[in-house]
Amino acid sequence: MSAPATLRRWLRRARPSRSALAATLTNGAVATIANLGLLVGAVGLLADSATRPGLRAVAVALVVIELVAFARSPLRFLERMSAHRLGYDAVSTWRRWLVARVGALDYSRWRAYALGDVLERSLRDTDELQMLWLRGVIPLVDTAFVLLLGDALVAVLAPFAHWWLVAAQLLIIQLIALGALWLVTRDALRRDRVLRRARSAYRAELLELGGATPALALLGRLEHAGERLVAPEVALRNAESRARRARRVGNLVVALCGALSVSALVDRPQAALLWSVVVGAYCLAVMEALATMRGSFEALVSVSGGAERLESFENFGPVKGRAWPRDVTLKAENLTLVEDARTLIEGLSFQVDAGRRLGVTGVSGVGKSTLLRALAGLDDVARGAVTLGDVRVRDLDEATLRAHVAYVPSEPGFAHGYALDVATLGRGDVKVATRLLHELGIEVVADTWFEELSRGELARVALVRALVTEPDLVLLDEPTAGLGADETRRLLRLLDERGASVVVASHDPQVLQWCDEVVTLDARA
Amino acid sequence: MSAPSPFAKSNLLPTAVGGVSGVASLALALMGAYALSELAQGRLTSGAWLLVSTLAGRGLMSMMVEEFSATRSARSLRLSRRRVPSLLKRPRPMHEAQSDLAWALEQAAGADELTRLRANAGASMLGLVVIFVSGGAIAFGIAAALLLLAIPLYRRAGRRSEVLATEYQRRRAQLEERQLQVLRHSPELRGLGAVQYGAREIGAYSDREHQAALSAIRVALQSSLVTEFISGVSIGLVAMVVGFGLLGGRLSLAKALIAVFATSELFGAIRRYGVEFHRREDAARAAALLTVPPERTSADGSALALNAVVTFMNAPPLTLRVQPGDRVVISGPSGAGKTTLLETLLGWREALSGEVTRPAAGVGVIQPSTPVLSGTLRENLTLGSEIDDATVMILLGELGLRGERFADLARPLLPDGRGLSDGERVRILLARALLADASTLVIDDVAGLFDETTRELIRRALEVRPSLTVIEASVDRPLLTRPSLRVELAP
Repeated sequence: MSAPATLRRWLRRARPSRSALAATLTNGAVATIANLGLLVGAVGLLADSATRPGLRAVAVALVVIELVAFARSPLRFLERMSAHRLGYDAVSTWRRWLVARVGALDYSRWRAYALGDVLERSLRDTDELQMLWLRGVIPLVDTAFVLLLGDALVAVLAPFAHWWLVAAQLLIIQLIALGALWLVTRDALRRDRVLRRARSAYRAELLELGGATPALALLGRLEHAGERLVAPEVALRNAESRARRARRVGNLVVALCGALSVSALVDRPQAALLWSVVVGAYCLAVMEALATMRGSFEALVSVSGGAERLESFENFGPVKGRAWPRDVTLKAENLTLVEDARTLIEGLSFQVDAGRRLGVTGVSGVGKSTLLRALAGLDDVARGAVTLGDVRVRDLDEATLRAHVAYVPSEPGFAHGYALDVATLGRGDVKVATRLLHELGIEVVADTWFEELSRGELARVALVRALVTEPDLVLLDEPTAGLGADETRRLLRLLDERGASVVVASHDPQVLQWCDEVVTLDARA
Repeated sequence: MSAPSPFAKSNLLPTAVGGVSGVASLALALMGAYALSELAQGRLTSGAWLLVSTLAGRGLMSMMVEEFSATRSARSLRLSRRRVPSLLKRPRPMHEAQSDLAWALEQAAGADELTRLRANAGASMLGLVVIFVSGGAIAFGIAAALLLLAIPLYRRAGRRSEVLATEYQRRRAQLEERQLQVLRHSPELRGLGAVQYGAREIGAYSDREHQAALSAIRVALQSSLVTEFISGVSIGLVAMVVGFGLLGGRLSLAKALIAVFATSELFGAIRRYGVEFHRREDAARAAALLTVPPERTSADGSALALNAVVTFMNAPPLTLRVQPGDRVVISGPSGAGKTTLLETLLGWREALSGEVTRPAAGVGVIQPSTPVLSGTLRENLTLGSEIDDATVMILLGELGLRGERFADLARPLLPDGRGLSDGERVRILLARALLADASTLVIDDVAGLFDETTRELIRRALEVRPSLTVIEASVDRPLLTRPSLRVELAP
């Protein structure tokens, strides 16, 4: 999809109310007119004063100019504030959109994103998008409008017969300037993509080294981190210098076209002095305006990269899934699971009747976590099916599925904040959560704040979070890692009391003993 | 933060460029005024040419200045990027994640820009002389008085906006951290049906951030409005004074125009500096991110010792002296502070009190969360040093890393360890440390990631290396079954 089309979609995705948009544009136009008008008016007045037109006319003009000068700053203020407000509202909408979209991704696709710094970047991308309104669309529209208005005024005030000649001349020069800027922008867009790729490669390397370097430094191999950074840095530097070259051309276009517009003055011997002076000042203003437009185009270029990247999160899941079945027997039929082109599990079948407990064990890397994710409907299966009753898990309505099935990964997280928020995530009853936490040995009150939970505390909180909605099926991945024997016992007792079906992946003999049945997955070389 | 002197050696060039460009743009403004007066007096051709030259001169100058800034910032960017590895030596807390580092690198590159604008604003003060000469004493008096009025007002507003900007930065950091958490845990949230909760929460955080941003912007705008407003008033008043001068025949049009243009130029330069002045904050934050905090852990020789170290509030002080070849098990229930203790030992955390001594190099760290590097299996194991493949393969076999996935050392690995189980990834880290001839291993509760056979293999691998010092933290099933030293941490 082309960059302009992408930007239009993003503008639509958080469309402001018509009145807010109109107010912002009007504020901007008025402020720009006041800005340009002040200079042109002051110069015109001075030129006119030289012809001694009489005190009254000068006094009136002076008062007008003073008024504009006083009003200019508050007008700018209004313009900026309304543009910022518009931009911020859009950013909040876009951020919610992003979280919802990333939350709907299948696990394998999510992981592909989580690998690089795509998720990290997405925050800044939504931020940058704010410039779409602030530095892109609003100044562009306003400046174009004011330029047209200025051309028309110059032409109408022209003191000779062929006034339209001047207007046409100015218009043509401005159109040429716009066309040239557009060409420059297209080129800049290409270079911007290269630059962004280089930048994100560099950031990804930084991110990766950020995790790995402390250990490398302790091993005495810090120079290895330096060596890894050389290639991405050189690529980034080259891309930066090429992007700078595109900017230079843009500057040249603005300077040339600004100077060209002075030609509207040349060879009009019958023109009045005042008019010539005003048009001269107007040409100065045109150059400023073109520079503003160049800035807007640049802003659009820099925004479009982020917009395109965020666009990749757009996914169109099933519109309406099937309802929750009455029979909640979980069945895996002839299941084959593949991860990164590696077959982990082949032809696996089992059945978990309502309220029963199935343990899954096997050496590390055998595919226990992948199996649990498939059971939770978080990822697709290569062959076979996971069904609840007679409905495939992946065909169920997403909201319904999540209300009845709870999944806890092997390394739970997202446990920072008010304890009861963490333990409920906006679902379930706060009282139930408090009681469950108490049963697992974690005491909380209304304003308990979880800062840094240890692994064992995290494991217990994660379990409570899964049980608080009273699910029919609970899928647990290594729920007792980091727990002692006594804590494990309490956790299993709590699960016992709930009566939900449980599938648990574990190495822990204590857990496996508690299960009604245990499936051992074989390692495939 | 006080700005460094504009005449310090490293700042001389940007100061000079700022000063010269300030004078040049004043000259161009005068030329423009003269061109307009030529036009007004009917000398169209010369007026038009002058005007064209003024425009071209302006364009040229802004291009040259931009070119200068770009070259300078590219240079300082290159210099600071060279320091990156040493900046990554210690784990960075979440709120100054690595992408912040990339941000800081770019911010620091713009530091010269402030120096240049400052010199530019300084040079534009010459405008006052021009106003005096062309517009007379009254015009000069107006411009000077308003300028003197603007500066303290501007400073005051600047201080207020700094306070608000700090509040904004705080909320911004909260939002950033939270959004990243939500996105990083999004499969977990989906598995619990809490995606919408995450979205709502981010929406709320975002609104809170924007409220702070809007009030910071309001104050920042108000403060820049002070100068904008005063500059508008100043231009208007000067225009009025010279206008009367014109009417009375005391002034020529050229002089009148020069006075007005010089006034506008004077305030323009001050305003440009004022706008960028707010970036000082960012520059200070970036500079802080780019300094390596001094390490308080003494790293010398091969000794490893804790002397009355307190790692967190209310923890009893701990003294520990580890001799080469010792096998130490640190045990305690979850939450007792085992990882905190290890990280203090490694110099990744500051101890609240006490002294920590650790070896300068040759320490292998094995944590469940330590990532592998993207690159080949060989690169991950040898870390760029010359080790023959046979040695590597023997070690892999010893740790039970066999089969087709480990047969080819040129096989690429991905940074998240995709295609490897946690147990395999941790064993690669162990092999890497052994190949780098580590004299000390620090192992943080990884035994749970292995099945019994693998655990036995690793135990044996440690036993046949008696000179190796091993420190292991574990809840209840350590790899070290016969430790020479045991530390119990109370919950």
